Amino acid sequence: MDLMSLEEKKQTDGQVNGASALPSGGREQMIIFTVGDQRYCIPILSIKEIREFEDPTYLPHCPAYVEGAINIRGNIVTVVNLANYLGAVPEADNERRVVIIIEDGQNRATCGLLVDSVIGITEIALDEIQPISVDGGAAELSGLVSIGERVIRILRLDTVLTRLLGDGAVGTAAG
Amino acid sequence: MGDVMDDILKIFFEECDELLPELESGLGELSAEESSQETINAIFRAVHSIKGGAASFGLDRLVRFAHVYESALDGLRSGQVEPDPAIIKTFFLAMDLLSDLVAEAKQAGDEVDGGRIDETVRKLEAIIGQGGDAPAASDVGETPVPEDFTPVTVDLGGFDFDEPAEEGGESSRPKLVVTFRPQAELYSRGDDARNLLLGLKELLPAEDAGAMDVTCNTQDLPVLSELAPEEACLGWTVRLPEPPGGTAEDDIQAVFDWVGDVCDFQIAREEQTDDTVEADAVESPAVQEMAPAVPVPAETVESEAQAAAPAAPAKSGRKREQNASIRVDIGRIGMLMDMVGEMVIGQASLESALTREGALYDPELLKRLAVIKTLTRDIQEAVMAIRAQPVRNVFQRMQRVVREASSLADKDVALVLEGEETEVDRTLIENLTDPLTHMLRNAVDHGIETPQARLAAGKPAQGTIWLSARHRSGRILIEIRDDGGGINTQRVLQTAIKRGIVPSGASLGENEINELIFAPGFSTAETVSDLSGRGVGMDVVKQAIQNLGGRVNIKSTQGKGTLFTLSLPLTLAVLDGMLIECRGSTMVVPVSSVVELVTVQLKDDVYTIPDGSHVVSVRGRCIPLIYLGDELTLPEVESVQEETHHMGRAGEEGQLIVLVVENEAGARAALVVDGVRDQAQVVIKSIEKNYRQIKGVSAATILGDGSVSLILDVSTLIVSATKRVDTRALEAIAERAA
Repeated sequence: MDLMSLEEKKQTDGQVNGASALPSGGREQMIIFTVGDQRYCIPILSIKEIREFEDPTYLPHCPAYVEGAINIRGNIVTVVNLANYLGAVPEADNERRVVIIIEDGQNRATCGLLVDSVIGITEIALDEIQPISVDGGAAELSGLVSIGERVIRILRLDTVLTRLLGDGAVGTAAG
Repeated sequence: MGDVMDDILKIFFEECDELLPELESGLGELSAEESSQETINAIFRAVHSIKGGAASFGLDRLVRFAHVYESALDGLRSGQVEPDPAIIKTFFLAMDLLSDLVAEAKQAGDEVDGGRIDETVRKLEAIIGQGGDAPAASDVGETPVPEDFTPVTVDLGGFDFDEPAEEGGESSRPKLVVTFRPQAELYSRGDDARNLLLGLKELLPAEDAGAMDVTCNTQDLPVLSELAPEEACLGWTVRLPEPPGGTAEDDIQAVFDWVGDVCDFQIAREEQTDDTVEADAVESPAVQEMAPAVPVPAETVESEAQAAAPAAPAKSGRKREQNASIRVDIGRIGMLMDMVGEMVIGQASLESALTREGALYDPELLKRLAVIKTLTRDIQEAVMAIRAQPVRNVFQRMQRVVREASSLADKDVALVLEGEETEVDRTLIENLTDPLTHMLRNAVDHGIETPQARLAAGKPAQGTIWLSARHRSGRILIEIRDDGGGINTQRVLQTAIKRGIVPSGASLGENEINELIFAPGFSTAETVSDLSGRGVGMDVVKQAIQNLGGRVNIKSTQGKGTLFTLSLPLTLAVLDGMLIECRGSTMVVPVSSVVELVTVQLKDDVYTIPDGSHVVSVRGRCIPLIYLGDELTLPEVESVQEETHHMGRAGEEGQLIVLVVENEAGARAALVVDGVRDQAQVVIKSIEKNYRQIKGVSAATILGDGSVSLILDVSTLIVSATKRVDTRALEAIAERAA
């Protein structure tokens, strides 16, 4: 796993320190990863593990963003190709591709997210998250947060899982 | 608090589910005249425990009935009532009612008719009457004694009163002194001081059981003329050695958990210095604190003491059966099974890494690996065994089915069980009840003749049905055999023709005719009875058995009886699968649905029908063809395996490998595959836990190399190919007509 570049880290720390001065608002540790040329993050507590990408088993009739199913210690887990899911251009044959295994507390479902690379961990203040309007078809994201000069998108995991478990029509349209 | 009570209530019902079969098997032994005092005690204990539990939840109807039942059984226990068949029958009836009342309390069954309760109570009371004035068990020991009182022994299980504690040679060990004094409320709840004593006894290791010393504190007992029957006057002092492991006082507290509010109790530690404890115990300060001593007439004390403590050591000789078990959430066992599966895979990959060509050959290493391999297999088997349960519970439920069915049909039928200890996976057990119920009802209704007909045929008036289970080559074989009239092939054939299942004039072999009773909509019963005759019975049975991955066979001899054989897998968690290749994917087809594997000539055997789909002719029978790769939208594989890949495509090679499969209804389809790799037992894993349902796929499994493989849902594949759910009747007609 690559850590953030030193420069970025300093910037992040600066942000963090600034944020902690605020009287209110919780903080959350996030993991940052790339998909195509964009950066995304998800709460670190939703992650079960990070694995090397291995060839999954194809699932019949699956939407384009479903890469297939893999075996994680006896559980069948579906892998979502986030590039396809988010409409980004995936990096071809990238050796740093990994699968982030996430678990959703509400659905009690597990799935894998295929991402291009993991960058590192950061802590963000929840009240720094800028919400984004949902009508723009952005239900995939729950908000934006800027760290240094970069804008990082926060992925909505419940949407991913709902689409996987739910009816195919919604998923196909999105994929 | 509500949640806690709900949980406890659930445990009570689980216990009832265990106690009722115990009661049933006890009564069964009683009627088979194999009973011992221990059996009778077990019967009594079962009813008593249900009563006790029900009382703490205020399940009044249940308690009241259980109380009468218990009283009737007490006559049996004390030997005042001889178990003749009529009495045993009443006890069985009462048991059915008891289990219905439990179901009612559980809100799982209909409300029990009050008239039925009254009638059964009347019958039970008649039995109580037979036993003279034997008082109800729970009243013995604490209620005051009339002058002509006959002492009744209360069996305290394994207490050995012949061997005083002092002889145990353990006098140096510290002793715990438990003093308790139940209030009247405890008895009115249906509980008994005896349970507390037993509970305390169970805290001790078996070899110490004799070292427990029980003294009845009678100082509160008023003179006879002042006795109020409803008052509780007795207390007990129990001295027990502190077990080596250290029975914490918590454990003793736990014994009183249920009765804490209605029973005063104290726990004290006593450093053993003086061996003589008998007489002083009564005067122990703890007791005095609770109740000042009252002088009592000597004779009353004596009879009370006799009543409270068992006078017959012979009866208490046998120890309560050690049946230690724990309740475990099934999810945890599933997790364990998953992990063991992974361990097997890990071990296999280690082995292949060590033995592959070019690897360093180290015999010592391989020898150790072999040890791990054996261990892994043992662990896997042990984990599977955790989920295994004897079929006893299901089998014993069938006793009631037969009893009710035979009384409805006015026939006399006995059910003989064999091999109840045969173990199968619990998932299978749950799914066996319905098909077995159907089959046994059918056996009573159609198999066994009326007593008159039986006598005329030179058979005993009572019919017999045997229900047996045994293991055979990794499967469980369940046989249902009756000594009835056998299948009347002529009548079956006529009915089948009448219902249009077979064209008239068809000539069928005996086995084929027997198979007809499994046809949908077949029923030979002239009247629609309560039991069967709705024309769904055997058809449903066959489907249910096939859904479990099993098969049904019939053998029948006219005039002698019928034998049904069910062959089932030992578990539903594992499936016999055929591993097939298709466009580079390995998939699993359940072996139970595979009919045959054939190679067909493309130009001679495959026909295109006008709607664009294909059929294949296998020995003159046309079967719809499914190109599996296309049906499942599998991605095309480029360049790799050019040859096998192209074998699956029409028009490019001369031949197709075709797997003929059949669904439960008998409809067939031919799957075009690239090849068959292997046949293996695979563990079924859910896909839907983390993904939606996939059309044409029922589940997934994990292959030996750790990869995921899909298990095909043959039924939906066939339905989507044929657009017909059931083609069997049509095909049967076509075949017979030809």
